[in-house]
Amino acid sequence: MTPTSEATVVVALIANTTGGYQATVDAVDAQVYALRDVVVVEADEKRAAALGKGVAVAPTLTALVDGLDRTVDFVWVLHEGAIPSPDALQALVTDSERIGAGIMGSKILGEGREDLVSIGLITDVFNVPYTGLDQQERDQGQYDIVREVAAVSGVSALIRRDLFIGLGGADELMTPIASAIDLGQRARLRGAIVAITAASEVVYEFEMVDAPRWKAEASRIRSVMKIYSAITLLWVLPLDFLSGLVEWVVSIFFGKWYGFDWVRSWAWNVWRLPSTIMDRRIARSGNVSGDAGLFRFQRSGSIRFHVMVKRSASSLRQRLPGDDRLTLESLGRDVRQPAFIIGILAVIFVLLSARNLWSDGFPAIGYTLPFPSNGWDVLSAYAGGWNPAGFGSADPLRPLLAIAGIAKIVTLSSPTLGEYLLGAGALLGGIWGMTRLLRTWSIPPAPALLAGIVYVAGPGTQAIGGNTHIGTLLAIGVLPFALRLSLAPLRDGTWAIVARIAAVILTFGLLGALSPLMLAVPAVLVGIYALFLFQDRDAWRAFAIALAGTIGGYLLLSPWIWSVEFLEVARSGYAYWVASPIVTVAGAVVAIAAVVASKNRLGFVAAWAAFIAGAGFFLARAGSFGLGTEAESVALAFMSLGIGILVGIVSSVLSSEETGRVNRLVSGIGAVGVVILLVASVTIVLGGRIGLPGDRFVDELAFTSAEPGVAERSRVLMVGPAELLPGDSRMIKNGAYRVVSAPFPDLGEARLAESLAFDRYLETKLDLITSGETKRAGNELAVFGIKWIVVVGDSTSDHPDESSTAWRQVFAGQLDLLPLNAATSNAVFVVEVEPVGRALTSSLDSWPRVGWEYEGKPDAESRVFVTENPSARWGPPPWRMTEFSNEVAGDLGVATYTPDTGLRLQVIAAAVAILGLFALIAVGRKRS
Amino acid sequence: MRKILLSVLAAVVVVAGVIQVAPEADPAPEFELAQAEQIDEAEASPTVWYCPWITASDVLESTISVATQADASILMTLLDPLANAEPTVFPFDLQSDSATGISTGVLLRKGESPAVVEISNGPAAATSIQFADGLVSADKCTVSVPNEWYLPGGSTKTGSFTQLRLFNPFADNAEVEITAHSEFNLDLIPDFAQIDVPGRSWTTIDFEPFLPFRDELSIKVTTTTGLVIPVMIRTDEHGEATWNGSTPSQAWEFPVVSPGKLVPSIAVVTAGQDDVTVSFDIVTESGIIVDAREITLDSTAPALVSLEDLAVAPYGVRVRATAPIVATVVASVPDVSEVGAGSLDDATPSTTAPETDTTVATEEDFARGLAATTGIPELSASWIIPIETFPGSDTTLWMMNSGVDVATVTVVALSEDEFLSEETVQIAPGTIVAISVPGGIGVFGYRLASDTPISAAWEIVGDKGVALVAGIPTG
Repeated sequence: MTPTSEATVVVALIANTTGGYQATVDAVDAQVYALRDVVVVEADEKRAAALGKGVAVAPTLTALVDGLDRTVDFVWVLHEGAIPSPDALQALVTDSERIGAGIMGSKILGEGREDLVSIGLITDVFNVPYTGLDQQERDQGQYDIVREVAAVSGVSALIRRDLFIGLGGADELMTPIASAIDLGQRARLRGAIVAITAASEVVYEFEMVDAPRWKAEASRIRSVMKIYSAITLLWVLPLDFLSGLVEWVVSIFFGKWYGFDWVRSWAWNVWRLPSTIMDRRIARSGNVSGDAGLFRFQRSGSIRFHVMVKRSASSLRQRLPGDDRLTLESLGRDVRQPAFIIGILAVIFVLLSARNLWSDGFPAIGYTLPFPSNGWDVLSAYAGGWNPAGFGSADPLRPLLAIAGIAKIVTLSSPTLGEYLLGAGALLGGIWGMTRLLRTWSIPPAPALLAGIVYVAGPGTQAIGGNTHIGTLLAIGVLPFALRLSLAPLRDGTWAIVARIAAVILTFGLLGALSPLMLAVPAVLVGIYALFLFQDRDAWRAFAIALAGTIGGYLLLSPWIWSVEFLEVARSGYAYWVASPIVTVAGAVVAIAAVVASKNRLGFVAAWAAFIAGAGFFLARAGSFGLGTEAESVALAFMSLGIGILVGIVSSVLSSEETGRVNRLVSGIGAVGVVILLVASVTIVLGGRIGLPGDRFVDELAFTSAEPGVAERSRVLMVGPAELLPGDSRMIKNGAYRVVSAPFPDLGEARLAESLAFDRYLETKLDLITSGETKRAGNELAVFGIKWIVVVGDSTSDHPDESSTAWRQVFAGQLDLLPLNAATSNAVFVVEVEPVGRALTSSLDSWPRVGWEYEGKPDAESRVFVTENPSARWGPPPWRMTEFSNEVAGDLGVATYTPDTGLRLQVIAAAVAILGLFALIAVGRKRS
Repeated sequence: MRKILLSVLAAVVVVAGVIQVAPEADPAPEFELAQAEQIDEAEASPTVWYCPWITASDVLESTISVATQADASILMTLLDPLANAEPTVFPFDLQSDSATGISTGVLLRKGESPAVVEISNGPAAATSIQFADGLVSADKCTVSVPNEWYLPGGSTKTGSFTQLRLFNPFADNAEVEITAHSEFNLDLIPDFAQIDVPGRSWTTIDFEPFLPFRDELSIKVTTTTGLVIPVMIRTDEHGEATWNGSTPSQAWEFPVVSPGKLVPSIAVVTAGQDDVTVSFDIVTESGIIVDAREITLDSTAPALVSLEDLAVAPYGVRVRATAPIVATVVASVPDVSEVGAGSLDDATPSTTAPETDTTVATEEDFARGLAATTGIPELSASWIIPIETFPGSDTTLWMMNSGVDVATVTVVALSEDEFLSEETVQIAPGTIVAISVPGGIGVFGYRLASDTPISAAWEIVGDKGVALVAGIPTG
């Protein structure tokens, strides 16, 4: 149909770096539809000058359009490099006038005019673009209609000048594709039609990518904030925020790091918020259609999640045997691949093994205690603040607390999510790490997955759970990565080396933060590896990398690393793992089979793994040599690692087609041991707590919450067998005792510092009580804020614990204690003396503990007696030491500890170093 | 080669791991609190004395006497018989070398109200006395609380009633097992297998329904959980006696056994599995009769050894055994039916009724009452003795020197403000000496200091009846 009037069109040729300027200009000159003018949009002045004097240039598209007179009807936006067919413009104008479109786009084809690149865009509710095309989809005329779309690509779009001006032009802050989508959305908000005509064909051979990624994300978020109504924004923005976070976490497993992009995109939008609000006002002023009009051209669900799922499946298949990718006939075969099945089973196994952590978090038992509720409090305490264990100290907290604090912050202080993510993540990480580690020796994925399951859930790891050393249990997930990063081949190039070293230091640092003794393990294991492969330079290089990681990793543990005596940590307790004979024999069978049946390098690796497992077994029982329980757990970890590697080797040899008859027989015998170990591993599913025992203290101390407000003001003295007490304990006359916070201790209270003045004061009181020199133990203990005494263990049955019985006799003979019989499994005594409080004012008000400080009613006249070990950093001033504890002013209504600046600076330096290492990894990967 | 070497090393470390030694079991706590012996000593430190048998009602009165050698603050707590009622607390102070008696009825008059006396310094001790018209019973309060107690000397023969008071002043509920032995050996009573005594309460068991017609009843109290303080109460038509539980010892001393000329018997029971040879020495004012009586004590049954025929009162007794036993003196009015015609010896006063020509022993030469007390297992050179006196009754302090040297004893009488008098007494070896306690001048206690170990006790004899109370050594 011939237009009734000739429309005046100006071409806005968007310059870019494709180098296709002349080809585009030639194609524009060849248009059958007459043009008024061609103006190049080029912001760079140098490039603009290089175009030649006769060429009209505008710095931005908006400036170009603003400069056009009223006689111009349309602006044809065309990207440099685009080759429109001679009738492309005519088709655009004709169809645009026919349907009254405000924006009309062309059909974009790839090189050779065969593949479809774009036939308009739809989005999801978060404005993520979606072409709807398959990869390399051929143009067979299947989309040759004029149809409305959400947006058109900016490669070729005919825009009505008056509409463009009315919309305020394109948003120059955005990336090109996002800007095109934003323009289309705003046009439709005004009731304009945005459409595509397939009659207008444009060839564009270059990739349509919005870069950089963070800017594209930021642009998308900005567009969302401009176009939606306030009610829609109330749910879209939080969902967008969370889905980005999820994408960040999931993508880590596929080697993608989107964390900085996510943070930067949201930070950019916060920075640009004033201009976004102004643009929003313009976009939504006057008569605008509702959000329903926008939803009409949106795909349901989240395109981001859809891509993540596709990528996950694709990535999984890339790691599995099979040459085919994503074809229909290979799909069925892939599903039936053992590695695929085992991989799925492994994920199900992890989900089942960690299921109770989702609802309950970590159980409170032994050294495993719930994370503190406020992540910022923990980080602040880690950075030079007060260590709350027992009666507190200025000793730095273990780095594990920093991990806990970060987990709490990231999960927005969710009661259990942080613990679930760490627990399940450790299992997943351990399995995944084992597959990556075994890839070093070309062990296929299926055997490697079996190895991973035995590694993270086998008898050795279960014993670590039984020891309740949660840090070592979580470190299981990092150890194989530490080894892999040391042993993996190194690409050439300085940046590759820099990125590797940075990654190794970070990984080792994480390992050490979770389990300080474990940090020394990878270097030792790799050192033994290198020693026996004496002439292998790669092995010695791996050892050097591991050493660098160990040193760097330890430095990241500042300031704790400078305050701790490692020998003391290693010697505390008595290492003696009681192994089941069946499991021991099974492990030995697997080890022997692996060593005998494997040849060459794999045979050496099997022997090395057998030695690691044997050494771990020995050290886990070497209490007579002075090793303690934490050393036992670390030894069990690398014993499990060795067994895991052996399982992988046996399974690999057995399933390999190249294995000879004799070796297959031997590995078959070894497989019996593998099956036994696998069955033993699966048992952790029963508890659903990644191998940790059931909760003890939350239930046992639940009675402290019976009366509101009392628990936060009081402490509990727990006495009885040391192994039944939370964390470390102190001894008096062979009787173990521990002071903890009510309603239950958190992870910050697991490790006690050396006895200080207030601790020793309690010891003298307990000496008095246990020697019978006083019958008013309640009065003696009230000064410490101790409201309850709990005698753990069995003190009533026919075969009671000696320790429990002895302690119970001590407190049973007191005159100012009341027995608490209701709903307690232990003997509990309540101190009858009033008032009892952790922080008592001189007017006998008890201030509750809020976070890791005390708060109450301000009173300029009163003093507050804070029952913590004495330190002049408690305040507000003036501070005095009274009865071996702290007396501070009560005028501010808070008693708080001023952090040590030096320690805080060390933590900040470590944090900066960590960020720097991340940056080095990002840059190194990009440049290599 | 490398593979073989590593494999061998692996095998070596595994074997080394297998042969490692398990750790020794953690030693049990060594708290001195776990006592096997019941030793009531007044120590130079804060102590708590438990007085289980206290009653203040419309007819009964009780007094708690406290004596101290050092300045002390005393807190007396009387438990209320009403459940969940707050106890009555009475604080007071005593200066050094003073003593006082507190009438509990002034503080709380609701019937039974066992007491706890906390003394902040020492050596100090407490004694409880219960009295009414025609009744007096007393014994020292208890300071040490073992898990096992022995209480021989009970009887449920016709006319005699025996009760056991179990007092739990502590926080924890107590589970108690009671084992009864009599002349019929072990008396198994299922109800006694486990008795619960809630914290801060007491229970009283009457043996009459369970073990009637027992001449010689010995009770063993064992606590499996918590702690109790038991006290035995024996009553008959003549009076009431109370005595504490004890733990076994191979030697016991009784400075006085026949107050008011009551007929004494020593109730003994063994704690072991074997028969024990028990010897009784009589210590008079003039000398000692060693091995005056010797018996073989059956391991399965208690024995009540009469001493009536061994000497003329007053005298004390020293009991020696080849194995640990528990001994209690019970002084009672003899059963008249046992004294028939022709059975009187010359020493027995008698009258001849003209009509019947029958010679009958007259009761008016015997005092009224019933008295008992535990023996003293260890001698001491220093004693603190809270005491009570009544108008119409005589209170006498007895000291016994069973050693071979003369004992020179400084006797200090204590009152509320200061000590009243001090005298020095010489006790010849193997003799007893009496000191009459003056009444009405405020003597509430005595402090004894000897140059050699002695034993001490005191008695009340008079209108109200008779009471025997052992002294308290200072540790």
